[in-house]
Amino acid sequence: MALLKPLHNFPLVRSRDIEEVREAMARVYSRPVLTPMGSADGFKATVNNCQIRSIHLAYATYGTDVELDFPAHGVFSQLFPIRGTGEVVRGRSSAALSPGASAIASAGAPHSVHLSADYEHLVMRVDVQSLIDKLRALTGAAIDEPLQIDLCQDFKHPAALMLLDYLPLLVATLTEACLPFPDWWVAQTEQFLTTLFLCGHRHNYSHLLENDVRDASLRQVRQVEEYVEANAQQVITLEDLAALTGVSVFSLFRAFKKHRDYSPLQFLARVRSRPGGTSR
Amino acid sequence: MTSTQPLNRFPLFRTRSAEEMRAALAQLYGKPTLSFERGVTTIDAVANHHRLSDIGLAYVKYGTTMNVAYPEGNFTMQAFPVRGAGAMTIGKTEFPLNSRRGAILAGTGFAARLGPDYEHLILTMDTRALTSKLAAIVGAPIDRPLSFRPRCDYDRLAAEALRDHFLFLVDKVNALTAPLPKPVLAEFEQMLMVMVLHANRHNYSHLLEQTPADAAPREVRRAEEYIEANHRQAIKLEDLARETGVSAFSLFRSFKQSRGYSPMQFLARVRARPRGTV
Repeated sequence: MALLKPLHNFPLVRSRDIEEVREAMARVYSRPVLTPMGSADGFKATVNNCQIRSIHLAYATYGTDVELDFPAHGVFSQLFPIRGTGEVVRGRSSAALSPGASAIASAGAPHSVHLSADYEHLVMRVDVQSLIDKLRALTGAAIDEPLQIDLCQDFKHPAALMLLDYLPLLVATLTEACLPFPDWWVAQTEQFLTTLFLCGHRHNYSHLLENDVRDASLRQVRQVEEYVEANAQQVITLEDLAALTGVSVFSLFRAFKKHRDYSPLQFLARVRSRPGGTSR
Repeated sequence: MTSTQPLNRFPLFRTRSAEEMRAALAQLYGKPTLSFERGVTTIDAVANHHRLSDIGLAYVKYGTTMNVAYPEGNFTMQAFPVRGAGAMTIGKTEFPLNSRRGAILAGTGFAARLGPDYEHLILTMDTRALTSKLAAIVGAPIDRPLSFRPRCDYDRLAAEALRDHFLFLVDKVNALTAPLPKPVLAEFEQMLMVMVLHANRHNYSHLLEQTPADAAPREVRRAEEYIEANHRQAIKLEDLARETGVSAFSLFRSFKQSRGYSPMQFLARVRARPRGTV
């Protein structure tokens, strides 16, 4: 028996016909331009899709090198590669796709993905309006400007790591399900996923969610991390960092000790030793 | 192995003294009665405990063969044995505790006999928080206290999902070097409580099944239960018709209408389900 693919119990389309696949994706998402880059004969799409109210969880593989160009639409997609490699491009920024990492595609701008023939991924798609409703509920703030999410996640943030690990667990739970879960189960799962998504990504409202923690020392840590990331190639002294955050060198050390398992300068060393300045 | 004990960042006690263990456990769940085999003078007990808002996560290894009895309490707890075996007694009923069988109690007193290498994880819940979650789902006030059927079979899918989610949280709170955002923890707590109400049988289960997603006809649900219980044997459509008391044709039709698949497709799914890995 063939190995069962994630979410096989929620089939959307299995086809060698490009038009049929585009049609099926348009039903749950948006209609991409789908171009096989490798041998067109090898094109064989398997797409599964499970809806959790305002969230869709999908599995996809295409059997050959493909490029998909998606128009702008009101949905954020987060891609969780399982196998193979790829790239997601949004305007002038791009992020590499490989197992163990993940990347986000914007709601307000067109984006495209290039995928290798052996590529497989899980996708979590979240409706913008439900994110904004949840943001409003969590922060009590007016959300007037459009939500803008960074292309790459900040994997120092525990919620980002949790999202990366949680999605496969939820997909496995849904894949084993023989009976539909009751509506109240699904509703709670949607609430959790929406919250985790908002906390696990950096966006133009992140600071409101951090205020909720009411922890000034964590903000200092974040401030330092951002500064160090942006200026890693310059000379940075502890005094610079203290001046930046407006607290003493000693309290900065204490803040790092509380929230991270390393010191500010160890963090700088880690950032400098990263290959090619990737975001992980 | 001992260095990778669950929740080891939240030590509660580590002791060779039975008296010390008794005192520490009393702070956690109410005063237990402990009795050991004759000749036992020292034990090797470890407990870790992490309290969140409405729930608590605990790991306990007693390190000796022993009997434990708890009086009635005011918290709800679900046990997830991770190693060894034991047995729990409530009134006159005894049932096993092992890696596939656990228990849930909403304040009921109980006694347990635990083997020397028994270790478990415990999910404790504030019974009032659990009850208000139940009231929110049912949409009506809960007047009679919540009462669970105590034995929990982790081979059942909903219970396995609960255990996987609980173990995930135990692992995450222990492994992450920075605290999770409060809203994330709060929603995860809510989700675990929903899963506890879904995965265990209790005196309000019938109300939860009346929600629209479960509104399949009685014969469909009966047939699904029969298939889940007997999928290792040969099952014919006629067997299902006999079990449910309706004709094979009308059973087929009500499956298609309420579930979108046939009874035999459901059987195939149950049989294809990957099993029991945590």
